[in-house]
Amino acid sequence: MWHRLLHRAGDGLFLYARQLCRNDADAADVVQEAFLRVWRKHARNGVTEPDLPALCYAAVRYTVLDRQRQAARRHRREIAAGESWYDQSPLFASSLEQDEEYAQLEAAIRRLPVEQREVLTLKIWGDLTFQQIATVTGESPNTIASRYRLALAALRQQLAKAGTP
Amino acid sequence: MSTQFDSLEHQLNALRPTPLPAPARRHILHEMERRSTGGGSVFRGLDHQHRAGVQLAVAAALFAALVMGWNWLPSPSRMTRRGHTADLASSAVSLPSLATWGTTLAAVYPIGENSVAVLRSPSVLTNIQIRH
Repeated sequence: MWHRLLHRAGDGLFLYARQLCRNDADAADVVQEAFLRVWRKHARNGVTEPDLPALCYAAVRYTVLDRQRQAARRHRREIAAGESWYDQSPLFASSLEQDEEYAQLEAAIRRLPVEQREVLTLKIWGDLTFQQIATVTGESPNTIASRYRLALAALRQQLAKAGTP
Repeated sequence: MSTQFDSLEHQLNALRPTPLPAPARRHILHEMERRSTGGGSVFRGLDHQHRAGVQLAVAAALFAALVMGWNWLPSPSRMTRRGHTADLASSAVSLPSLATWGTTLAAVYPIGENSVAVLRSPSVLTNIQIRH
């Protein structure tokens, strides 16, 4: 079950962590730590497989926040993590980057506000429900649904501006 | 139910996230394998930071127990001088725990029971046992 979970959700967890971390190395570390944290806690308590992805995404979020708190104690100016990364490495697999349409879509995703991008990532690539996303982020399901719709509307507007249908 | 965003969602679903780096994936699998086969099983439920703290606390407790236990042991020279070595040896074998050790010592050793209690430990429970 855990191997299957890692195979199925590993890339989505990494994508989510990359949005919250300063660089890919940190994001990979966060995914490792978060996944093993969930595994240690739930490997023997009979948790069902459908609940696990949400637990893993929540653990990624918690781990990043935990690290940011520690970093803030060491170095106050490191608090604003996550923004600088976004102009660096590609979000999606390279075969799709070659397609101009998808390249524009990725560029539009990068321009979304952090909150909307987070909801979009958890919904599309994390395959979580609004209720699960609400649990992960600590927001209400209505807020999450609203952010998701706003994200899609913003994407569509940006793509239309760029000339993509 | 179809919405105005269906085609856009379809496009987004077609995007595949960049894979989790292989070393990170291997590390996770290796850790799960290692811990499943028994490595660190006593502290499995704890994360790294808590595990270190608990291990330190356990080590300190064991050390304290060792030091206190060492002080509680009877001196061999005194036992020989009093001529009760055999009695003490036989009674030590039958002692169920350190809690009853003071009581037995008081019975065998020709000094006052309260003196033994003072020598033994500050344990209130044991003192009460001896006085009774």
